[in-house]
Amino acid sequence: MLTTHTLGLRVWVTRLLACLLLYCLNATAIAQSSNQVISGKVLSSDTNEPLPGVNIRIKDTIKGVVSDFDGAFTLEVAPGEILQFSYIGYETQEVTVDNQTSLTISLVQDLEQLEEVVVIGYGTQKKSHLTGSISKVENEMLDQIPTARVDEALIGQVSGVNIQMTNPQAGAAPTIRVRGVGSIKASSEPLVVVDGVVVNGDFLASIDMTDVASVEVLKDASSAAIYGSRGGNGVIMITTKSGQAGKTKFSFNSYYGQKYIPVKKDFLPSLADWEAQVLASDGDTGRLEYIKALGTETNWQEVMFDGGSVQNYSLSASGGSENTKFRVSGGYMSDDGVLLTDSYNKLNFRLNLDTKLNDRVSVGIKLNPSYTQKRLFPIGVHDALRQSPWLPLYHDEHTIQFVDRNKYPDVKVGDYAMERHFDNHPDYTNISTTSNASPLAKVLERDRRENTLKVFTNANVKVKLAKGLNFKTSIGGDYMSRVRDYWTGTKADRRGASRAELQYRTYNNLHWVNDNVLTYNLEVGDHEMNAVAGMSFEKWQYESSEVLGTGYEFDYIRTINAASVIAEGDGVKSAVALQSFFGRVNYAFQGKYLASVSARTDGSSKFGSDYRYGFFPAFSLGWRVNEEGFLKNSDLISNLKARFSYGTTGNNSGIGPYDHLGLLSPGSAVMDGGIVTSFYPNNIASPELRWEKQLEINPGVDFGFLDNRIYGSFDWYQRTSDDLLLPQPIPSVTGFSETTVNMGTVENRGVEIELGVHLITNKDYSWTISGNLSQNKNTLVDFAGVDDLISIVDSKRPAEWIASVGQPISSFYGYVMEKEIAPEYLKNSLYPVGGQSQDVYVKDLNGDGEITPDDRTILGSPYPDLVWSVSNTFKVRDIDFSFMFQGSHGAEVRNMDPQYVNNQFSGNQDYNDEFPDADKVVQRIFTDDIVQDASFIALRSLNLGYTMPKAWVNKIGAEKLRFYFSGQNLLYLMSEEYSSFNPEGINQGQDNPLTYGYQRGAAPIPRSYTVGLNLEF
Amino acid sequence: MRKILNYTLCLGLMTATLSCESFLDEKPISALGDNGFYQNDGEVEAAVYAIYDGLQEVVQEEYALTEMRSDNSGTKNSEGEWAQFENLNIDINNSVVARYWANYYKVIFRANTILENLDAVKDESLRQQFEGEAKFARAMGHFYLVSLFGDIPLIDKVVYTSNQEAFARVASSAVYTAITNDLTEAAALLLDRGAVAEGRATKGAAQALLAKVYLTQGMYAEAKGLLDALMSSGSYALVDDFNDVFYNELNDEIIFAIQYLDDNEAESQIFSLEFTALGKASGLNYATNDLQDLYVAEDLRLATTLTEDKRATAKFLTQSSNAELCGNDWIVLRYSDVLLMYAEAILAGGNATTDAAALSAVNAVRARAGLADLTEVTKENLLLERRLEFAFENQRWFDLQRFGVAEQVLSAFAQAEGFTFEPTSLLLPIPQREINVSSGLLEQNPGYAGGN
Repeated sequence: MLTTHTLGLRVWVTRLLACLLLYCLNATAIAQSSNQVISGKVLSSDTNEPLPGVNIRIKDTIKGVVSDFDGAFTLEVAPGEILQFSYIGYETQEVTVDNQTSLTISLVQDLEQLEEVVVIGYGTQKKSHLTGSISKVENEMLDQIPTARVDEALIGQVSGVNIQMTNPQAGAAPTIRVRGVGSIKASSEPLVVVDGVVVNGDFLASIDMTDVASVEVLKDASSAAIYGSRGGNGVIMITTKSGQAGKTKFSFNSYYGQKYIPVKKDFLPSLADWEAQVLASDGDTGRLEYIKALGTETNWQEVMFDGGSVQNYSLSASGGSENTKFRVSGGYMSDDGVLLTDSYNKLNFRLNLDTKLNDRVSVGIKLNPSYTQKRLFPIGVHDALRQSPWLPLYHDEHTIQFVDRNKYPDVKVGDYAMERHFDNHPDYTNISTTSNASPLAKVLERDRRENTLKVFTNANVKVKLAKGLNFKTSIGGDYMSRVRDYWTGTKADRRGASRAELQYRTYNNLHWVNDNVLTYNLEVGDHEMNAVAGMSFEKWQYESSEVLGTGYEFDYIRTINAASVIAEGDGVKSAVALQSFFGRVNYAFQGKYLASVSARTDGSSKFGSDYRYGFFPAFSLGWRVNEEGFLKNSDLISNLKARFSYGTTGNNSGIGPYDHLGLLSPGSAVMDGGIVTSFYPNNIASPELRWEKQLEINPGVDFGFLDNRIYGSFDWYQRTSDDLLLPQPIPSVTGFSETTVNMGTVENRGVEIELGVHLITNKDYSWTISGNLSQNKNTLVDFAGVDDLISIVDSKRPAEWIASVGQPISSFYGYVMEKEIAPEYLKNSLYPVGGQSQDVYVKDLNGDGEITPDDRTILGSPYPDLVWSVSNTFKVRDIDFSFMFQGSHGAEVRNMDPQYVNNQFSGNQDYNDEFPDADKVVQRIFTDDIVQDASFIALRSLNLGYTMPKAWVNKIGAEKLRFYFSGQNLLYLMSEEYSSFNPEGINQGQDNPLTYGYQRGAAPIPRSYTVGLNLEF
Repeated sequence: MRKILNYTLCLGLMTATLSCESFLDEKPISALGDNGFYQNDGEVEAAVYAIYDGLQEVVQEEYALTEMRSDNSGTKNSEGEWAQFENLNIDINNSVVARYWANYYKVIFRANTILENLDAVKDESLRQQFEGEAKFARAMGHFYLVSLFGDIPLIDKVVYTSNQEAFARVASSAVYTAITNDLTEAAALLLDRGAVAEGRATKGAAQALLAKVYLTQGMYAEAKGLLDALMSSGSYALVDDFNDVFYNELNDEIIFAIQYLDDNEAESQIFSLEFTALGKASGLNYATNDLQDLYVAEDLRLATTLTEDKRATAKFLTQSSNAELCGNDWIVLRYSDVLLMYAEAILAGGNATTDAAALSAVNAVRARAGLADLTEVTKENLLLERRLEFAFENQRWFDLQRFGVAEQVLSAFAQAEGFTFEPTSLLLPIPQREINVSSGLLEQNPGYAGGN
């Protein structure tokens, strides 16, 4: 049904558009020229200062000039012609030419035009007329945050958007969640739109923050519904800066800084502390003697968290004439990363070019190539820090004497030391706690790099079809080519050269999109209307290949040609298509009563032909109470708007491109020692799969008091995600363990508050405090019969999560710890250094006198209850100062680091034969002892700037010069019970919401301070 | 200029919209749609190979369910789920058990898929070959599963989630009947060794497996008949050097083996690495003290069976240059097994025999090991001989059951090792996930949570 409807609509729209297009393109006229010269000056009426860049045009012609830096202009005109003066933010003025040769024009500010405009899907809207929940962040100082990523710069800026630095290696992506997690198998990442074009979310790493003008986040479903199937997790809309007519302006920005991680003193005891413990305990001192004889001590934190510098340079030029405007920029960033080997370099370039061909037609081009080089820290941080403090980095003349020559005959001075080297010394007790290679070797001898070339390009044509009616078509795409070059050297692993390998992967992804949008604006009397209708075609093509080379006996050549064995060669391609039709009408009556209705139909190739199309309607209403008579003259209330929105969005990211088909995949077996090809059934065909649907209601209020000195908004929302695309477990006797179906319901409900106060607003002094607060509650409403599903991440350390109806999608599950085992019942409670027993007493929760699986309970939730931020901005003459605190409360994290760092599997820490309570203890990893409070309060950013006096700056030929100091995370308070380096570091299993909140070896939160300058000339 | 723009725009718009009939029809590029496959001999043969592809997965962790539950081996470090096997205290959610169950039923599903598409095979001899291979694999799957889990779902056709009647457990006697029928037919359909590529199921493999099925059911005369035929076929023989059984692959002793290749990501196995301290779980299938002390010094099998420190096995040491991509084949059936089964068939459940044929069979195996001849075959010395010969080859668990001594041996072993043994541990738990999704039709074994 839907298909035939939309097909008809499409054909109609196509024909209509084609006809209109032909008509308007032919209807333009070209005017003649004349020969009287007139010169003059344009001033601003309020300041009487000259206005550069004003468009001066002879009416109904394409002839015109732009005022220069002093507001001056010269133009040839014929008597009787009308001159039009237009400038953004000012009312357009018309002057009829008589015989005068000079002219001074005073332009008046247009208050209506100055009103803040917000980017919405396929258009813009006055902020005062918004009826959905959209937050806007202007790029004022975000580009001074020393990060390579746009998303990281947004931390704390927007309510309802939780951005976590889950594994903050240099250049690594944070995790973004808009209003909580709404899906289980499908992605919960928001959609990213750059200058109106949908791009791969990865592009947040390619855009130079200095090129960004503003970022809007569409949070509620009615705002996001214009993106239909992909709006379910919110939409992040990035608008880049474009050129302004006038003298070409240059802008140079640069900063340099240091990143570091403070050493955590209580992470492991020092050898001196440990010695004191051993001596005090009156226990066995054999190991102590060995460690003292060896005499070495390594602080692994200092070795692995080596800090680094970060620097950034970006230069842009923007300008143009009235008809052609450009902005071109280039940037380079280099981040050494805080960890031993991580680093990130980025080179990017951007061109935004718009030109008016005539009164009706204009074209625009955007081009953004970028190239990034990333080197990773190759192992988990827990793995890098888990070694004994007595282990030296390298052998020297002294330590080499202790080496077990029977087992390690070839070790020499200068080689990496490993714990087992020190075994079997005739005079001492063995002190090794692991057979692993030195973490230094593990890190330095693994060279993992990722180089990425991305190109974003978009070309568009805008046509004015009639008054208020515009058509825009654009074709664009983003392309990514990535090489992952993962080298593991011959010394990187305890298994030596037999584990040396090169994993070489390439990815080529192309995504192109063609949008065709008609917009219509109408203002008649009390009615104001804005309508959008359009269609869009998108295609994604993915290609990847992999070669695995092994059998490297040397580290000299780290490319495939030196591999003696090609262990694997693989390559796959796939493609996905999306076809959409959408429309929206925004209507305002008397500027007071607002309404918006939108709908989108998305068809996706991922679904079988009967279920391809999803329909996503939305509406919202608003009432600007302050425009009513009874409030119009209120001194107290300057803005008051009530709004309500309802919308549906969707998601299809949880399934593969061809899941609706039954596939046969190629496999292979060995016969007679040779390889033969097989084809095996890969999945059960699911032709009835359909879109995941999300339904959201969002009432809210925007308010402003005392001439908007106090301003803010309040939102309440409830988003229900239904028909989740989930792998349904099925009996394995069918030959398959699962099949993808639509089932289950998840709900997110929450409150968002944004509040700001302009405490002082004065030409020379100002102080603004603003903040936001979000609360979200995630609930699994229905899990289609798999209620209480238990999931684990690692079968070697199978700590459990449970998905129970009425609780969040995932909760930590296990036993409640009661107490430690008394040291006398442990084989050796004092070794390894910082060791902890594997087992602990747990509570008999059901009181049946025995510890059984029935004593497990929910131990906490990985989702925060409350996230907030508070910013302060001060200005004292030429000095500006701002800082932001951000906090998160109520989330827990299952921190697996202690398991490794505290050597919980060491046999020394096992209970001994005298222990009477073996049936009352369980392994610590199954208890709440490792479910730790992940709350934090951070001084996320701090910025102190000084702008040089204008007079002085003008002398050196510049417009503006500002120096600043900036700091990130200079303060970072964590909970007492949290024992690692990053409470946000849910770095593993994060792609599976059923085991959310698993932390193992997350990179620490980096601190940084930078100095920088902004120069405009 | 303007005209060109006109046309490009319109054309672009038209093509984009008019072609969208097919715009959303994306065909898989790196896989095949299953409609219209299984149309000719080659396509069905590719599906037959998928059986062997599946068997490569199945046997990867089988040692945990068999050898590590017996008195032969355990873990080195008692880590995680792996440690549940050596203590015979297996959790109903144990993922190793769940994978084994799922992987074997996947093989059975692939076998049934072939049996339902045999009509597409034009070449009559190929058709018989494929049918034989499918029935052999289906029987092998059911046999291992019924031996380990007791009553199991019997899957003799392709079943869908709507075929709920197939989810329930079937009495093991009925399962054995089906296994016997499948193997009898397979033995008739399959060719002798040498007539097909090494690695594919042969008549000999079907006979040997069927003989073991008969022995398990106490049908000694039937077993003996099959073993007689096998021994006189001349297709198989003991190799002279015990070490060559494992390190000279596809030798004359191998009746059925799953093949792997060194340094090939898709065709390699990981168990060889896991049997060492360098494995991901730091050492699995490690020899128990019991086993370490069992070999007399002059037993030539010792150096191949155990490493120098006697803690790990030396039977499957990898020769690959990448330690994780091991190519050692997994031997399911070999000729010394046939010889010892032959003696077992003659012993026919009794305690001792001096039958010349039985003695000659056992002594042939002992002679290769450099050991003196026996003058009498007893239940005890035959079981011991099998243990010494097949340590780490996943035979011990089944031997203990077949000889009827599992409970006695394992409770003594448990006492020595300090863990509690319950006779109900002789059956593995049905994976809890399977019970959860069976619409209440699958029941747990006694002794486990949810079982009676």
